[in-house]
Amino acid sequence: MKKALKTSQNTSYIFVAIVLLLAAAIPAVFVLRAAAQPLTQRSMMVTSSNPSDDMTAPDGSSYSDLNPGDPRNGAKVGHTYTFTINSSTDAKAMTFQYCDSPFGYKDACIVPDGFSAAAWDGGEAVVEVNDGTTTDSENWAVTSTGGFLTLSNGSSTLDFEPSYVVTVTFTATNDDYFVNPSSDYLNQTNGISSPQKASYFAHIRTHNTASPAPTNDNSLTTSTIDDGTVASSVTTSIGIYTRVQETLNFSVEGHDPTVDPPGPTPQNGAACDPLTRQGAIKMGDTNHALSTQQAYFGKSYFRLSTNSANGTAVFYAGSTLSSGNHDIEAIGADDRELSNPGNEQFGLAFDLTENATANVGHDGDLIPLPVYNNNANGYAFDASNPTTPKKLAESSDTVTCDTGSIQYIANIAPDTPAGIYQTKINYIASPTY
Amino acid sequence: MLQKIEWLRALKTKPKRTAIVVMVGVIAFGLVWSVTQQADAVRFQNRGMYINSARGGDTTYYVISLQYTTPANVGSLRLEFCDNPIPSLPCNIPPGLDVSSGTLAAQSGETGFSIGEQTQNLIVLTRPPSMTGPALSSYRFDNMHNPDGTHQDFYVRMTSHASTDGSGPLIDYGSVTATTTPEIELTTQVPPILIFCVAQQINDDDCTDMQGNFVNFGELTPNQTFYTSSEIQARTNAQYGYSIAVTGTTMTSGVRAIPAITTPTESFQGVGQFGLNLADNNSPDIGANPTGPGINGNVVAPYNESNKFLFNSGDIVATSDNVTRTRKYTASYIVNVPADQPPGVYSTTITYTCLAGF
Repeated sequence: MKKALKTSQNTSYIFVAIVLLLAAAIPAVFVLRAAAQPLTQRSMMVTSSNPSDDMTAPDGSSYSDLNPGDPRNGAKVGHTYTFTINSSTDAKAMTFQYCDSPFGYKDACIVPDGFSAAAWDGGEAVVEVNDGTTTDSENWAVTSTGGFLTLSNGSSTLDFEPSYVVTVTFTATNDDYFVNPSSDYLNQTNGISSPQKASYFAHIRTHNTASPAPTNDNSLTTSTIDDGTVASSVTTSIGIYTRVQETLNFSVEGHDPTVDPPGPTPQNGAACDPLTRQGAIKMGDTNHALSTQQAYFGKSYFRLSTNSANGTAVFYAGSTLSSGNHDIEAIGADDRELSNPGNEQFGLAFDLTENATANVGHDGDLIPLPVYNNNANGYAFDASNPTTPKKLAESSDTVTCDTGSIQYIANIAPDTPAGIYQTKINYIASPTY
Repeated sequence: MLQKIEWLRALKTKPKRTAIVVMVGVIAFGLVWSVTQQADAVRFQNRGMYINSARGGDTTYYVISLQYTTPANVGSLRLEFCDNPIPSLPCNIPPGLDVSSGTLAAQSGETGFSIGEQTQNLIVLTRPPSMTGPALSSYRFDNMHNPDGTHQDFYVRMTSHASTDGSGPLIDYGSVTATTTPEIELTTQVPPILIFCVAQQINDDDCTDMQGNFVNFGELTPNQTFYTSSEIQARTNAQYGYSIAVTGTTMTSGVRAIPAITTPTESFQGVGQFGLNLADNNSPDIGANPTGPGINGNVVAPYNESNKFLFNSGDIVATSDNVTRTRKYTASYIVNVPADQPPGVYSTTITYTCLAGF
C-alpha cells in the first residue's frame, strides 16, 4: 500500500513536472508567434501570366522557340517579389511557398495544378535590400522541394530593419524557371469564389536560420521572422492579330521652270504625299533648243517612303537623248564629267543645292551612288542596255520619306545633227522586306 | 488568427492594387509584344520584287526573291497578284495586270519548280516536295504585263505549301509590292546650225573675226599672171551636209571682158584667162588645201586640181555629205591678159552660197 502510494506520488510529480514544463514552454512558443510581423507593401510580378501549356499564337499556330521570360511563355517564367520589412531581426533565409489558396484559408497548402518551381533547385536568386539610400545585393542559393523554395546564403545574414525594402528576383533562364499553372487551373475555384478563380498564392517567410524546415503546412515555424502572402493568377491572353502591310510609296515628276514653282509639288511634308506633276521636261532656251555655247539643264524629282526593313534600291532606265538614229552622247557611269559646252553630253546627278526641299544626299535614308551624288562634281548616265535599270541610290533600312532632286544636263557639239531630241527615263524602286 | 486578419486586411490595401496594376501591365505588354513578334515565325524573310520596268502597261520581267523561314517540305509556292496584301481582304486584280503569259525564266536557291497553275493574277509554282533551306531564293518571270496607269500599286501575296498545288495549310507567307510610275520625258531640240562666211582672211571658227572682201590687182600686163585668194569657211549640223556654189561673172569693163576659163586649164601668161580653184598651187604659188576638223567637207572636182583653174558661174565648188565641223577652203584666183586686151577698169563680184540639207 505504501509502495503503491509512493508510486502514485511519483506519477503525480512526473505529471506536474510535465505540466510545468509545458506551461513554461507554451509562452515561449506564443512569444515567437507573437514576434512575427507581416511583410507589408508586398508585390509579386511575373513575366508571364499565360497558362504553362498554352503556346497558341494569335493566328492559331504554336510558338516553338519562345525565350525564357517571354511574356507569351508560361512554361519558363521569372518572378520578382518586393516587400517591406517590419522586424529588426536579420534574416538568414527566406522561403516561398506556392499554394492554390491564401495562407490560412486552408490548413494544407496544395500546389496549383501544373505549377512547378522544381527547376530552381540549385539555382540562385538575387536578394536586394534597400535601406532607403543604398542597396545591398547578394546572390542566394535556392533549393526546391515541391512548391516550396528556400533561399539562403549560408552564414550570411542581411541586415533587416523596419521599413527596409527587399526585392527578390528569380530571373528565368533555360535552366532556372517557374512553370505557371496549367490551363486546367483556369476553371478551378478551389472552394473560393471569384475573383480568386485561377489565382495562386505565394507565402513569403523570412527566417532567422539558414536551414528552415520545409513544410507543406500553412502554419508558421519557429524560425519565422516575418511573413506575408502575395497572389498572382493565370489567364488566357487576348489574342490580337494584325499586321503592318508592306508599303511602297514611290512617285516621280518632272519640273518645268517656266510654269512650275521651285521645288517638288507638294513640298516634302510629314504625310509624305506623293508628287503630283507631270513627267515632262523641256530642256534648252526659250525655244527649247540646245546650244554649243552653253549648257542647259532639266530637273525631275522622286519621292519614296517604304517600310522595307531590308533596304530599297532606286534605279533609272532609259536611253540618252536621241533624234531618229542620232544620239547625244551619254557621259557614261564609269566617271562623272562636269559640264562642257560644245561637246556632246547627257547625264544626270543629284542636285544638292535644293537641300530645303529634297533630302537625298543630305539627311535622307537613301544614299546616292558616288558617281551621281552631287551635280557640282559632275554628271553621269549609263546608256548601255537602256532596258536594264541602273542603280541610282539605295538604303539598307526603311525609308521614312526621301525626296530626290535629279538634274539633267544636255550639251551639244557643233556637229550634233539638228533635230528634236527626246528620251524617257523610267525610275524604279525595288524594296526588300 | 490575428495574423490571418492582418493578412486579409493587407489584401485590401494599396500594395495589392499596385501589384494588380503591375500584373495588368505585364499582361498588356505581353499582348503588344505578341502582336508585333508572332508573325515572324512564318513570314518569308528578305522578300523583294524587282520589276525591270515600272511603266504602266509594259511587258517586262519580275524577279521575286525570298527566304523560306520554316525548314519544311515545300511542294508549291503560290503567288497571287492583288491590289492589296491582306489575306483576309478580297484580291482584286490590279487593272491591266496580266501574268497569264508569264514564264519561269530562272530560279535559284530553292529550285526544281515549274509553273503548275496560272491565271491572269495567279502563278503557282510546283515541284516534288523537298526540304527548304535558309538560302535566298529568287524566281524570274518573263512576259509579265504591268498594271496600267502611272501610279498603280500592286502586291504579290506569297504562300508556301507542302502540297504541290498551292492548297492546304500554309508554311510561310508574306507579301511584296511594286508600283508603276510615270516616265520622265525629256524633250529638246538641236537647232539647225550653218556657220558660213567668206573673206580674204578668216581668223576663227565662228566667223566672227574676218578681214577684207576686196582685191585690187593693180595694172595688168600680158607678161605676168596676176593672182589673189580669199577664204571660205563653213560648218553645219545638217545631217545631209552642205554644198558651196560660186556665182558671178568674169572680169568685165563695160562690154569688154577677160575670158573666163571654162575647162580646167593651167595659167598662161599673155592669154586672156580668168579662173579659180580651191587647191594648193605652185604655178602660181598660191592657195592651200582645205583645213580644219570638218573632214566631211571636200572640194569638188575639177576645182580641186592644183595649178588648173576655171570659172563657171553656178558651179558647186565644195560639198559635205553629213554634219560637218569647221572647214576652211582657200579660193585662188588668176588673171592673165593678152597684149591686145582693151584698156579699162575690169572688175567682178564673186559670190559664194552655201546650201545645207537638214
